[in-house]
Amino acid sequence: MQSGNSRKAAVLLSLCLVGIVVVVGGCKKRVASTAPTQTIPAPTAQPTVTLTASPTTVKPGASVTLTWSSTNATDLSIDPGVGKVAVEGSSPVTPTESTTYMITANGPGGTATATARVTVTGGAVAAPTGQPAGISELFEQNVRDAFFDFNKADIRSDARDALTKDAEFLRSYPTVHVTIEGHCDERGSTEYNLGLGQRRAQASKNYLVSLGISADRVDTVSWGKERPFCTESTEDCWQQNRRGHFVMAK
Amino acid sequence: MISFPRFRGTNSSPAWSPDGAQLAFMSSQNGDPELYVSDVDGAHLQRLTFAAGVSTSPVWNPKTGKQIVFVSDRAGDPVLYLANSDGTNVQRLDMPDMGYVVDPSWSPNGQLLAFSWRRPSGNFDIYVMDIVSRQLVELTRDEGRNERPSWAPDGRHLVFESTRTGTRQIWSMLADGSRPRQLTYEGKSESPSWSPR
Repeated sequence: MQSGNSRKAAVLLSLCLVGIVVVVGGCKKRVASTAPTQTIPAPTAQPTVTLTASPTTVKPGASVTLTWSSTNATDLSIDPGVGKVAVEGSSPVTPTESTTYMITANGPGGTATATARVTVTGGAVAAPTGQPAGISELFEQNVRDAFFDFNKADIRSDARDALTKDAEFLRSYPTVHVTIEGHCDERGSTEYNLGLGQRRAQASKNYLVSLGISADRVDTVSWGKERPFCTESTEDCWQQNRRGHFVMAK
Repeated sequence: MISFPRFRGTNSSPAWSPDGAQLAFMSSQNGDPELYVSDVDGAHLQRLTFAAGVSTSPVWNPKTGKQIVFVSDRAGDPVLYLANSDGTNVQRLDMPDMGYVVDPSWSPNGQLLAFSWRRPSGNFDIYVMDIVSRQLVELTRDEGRNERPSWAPDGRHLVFESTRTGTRQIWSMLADGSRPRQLTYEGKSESPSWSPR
């Protein structure tokens, strides 16, 4: 246990260190300017990147074509299994199980990512109870995310349909536990979106519980706007990011 | 190093009380994200807000320690609320227009509140409000998104993040919006916080 004075000193020291990092880190290139329109350096554009998969649902061993394009990027790579790629192009892949491919684009203006999901079907056999082989694939095939309106955590009619099917799956496989991740679009503050993401995850959980799923089987976490599924500043992209995302607990 | 308990749910947005003895923070340990206050070691936990929706981003009046301002969407869009530091006497800080108001930062003398406001048809821009008269001053306008103001201990400067050059970088300016100065240039930089002294 620390004394009150030493604790306060530790607190002040921590704050000062944070401030020093921010202020000193930012001082290596100073620009003397006297008005808002003066001496603004040339902008370094942020990279953008898109990634699509075609088809998005295949049998095991079938070929899928990944297609991508980017702007303001100098270094791109696709995981898993593809590696470094050109600024735009396409490449065949042969996933043996459902896979989310992610492309990472780095450039002078920062980093952007995009993902494309390929669902592999027909490789697993459903079992009536217990934890069957291939449960991950069944989870990917049957469990759907719940999507939300801007600034809202209300369960929409499409989210109600998705969650009802999710509840059916969880009833069929009583050993499966899930984590619902609350996600938000890029608009608004980091702190507010952490709260909003939590409300979305909790609202999704509450709906499952209202359908008879035990609360003990459902955890929630908020990622706010920190882990977007799509990185473009468009309504389509924002809608993809406003969701309660279901992940099967290990 | 001071240990802090691991509460259930999402816990974020901690803010020091002016005397360094307490923390106000957002926690969803009981469901909705609400504001709590505790000693710096997590003892004497007390819930401050009781309203459906998100309550977050608490900041203490650094001069008196007797009031907090925070963000809540209890009435729709997230906007600012003023309350006593024990959670009583909650008042909405009304704006002259609709919009989305976040990132409150209290000036060292306790008289001014800086924040970012996304007006219905506009960008995020930084404003300052006199906490008594509620008079507003617009510090940035139409130059990218301007967010996360943080006061310097001299009460004359603010540091903030802006996308006016195309990427999110850290800038400073005088408290009347003049003399903007870019402080970072590489990658993406955000969420600045000026050390208190």
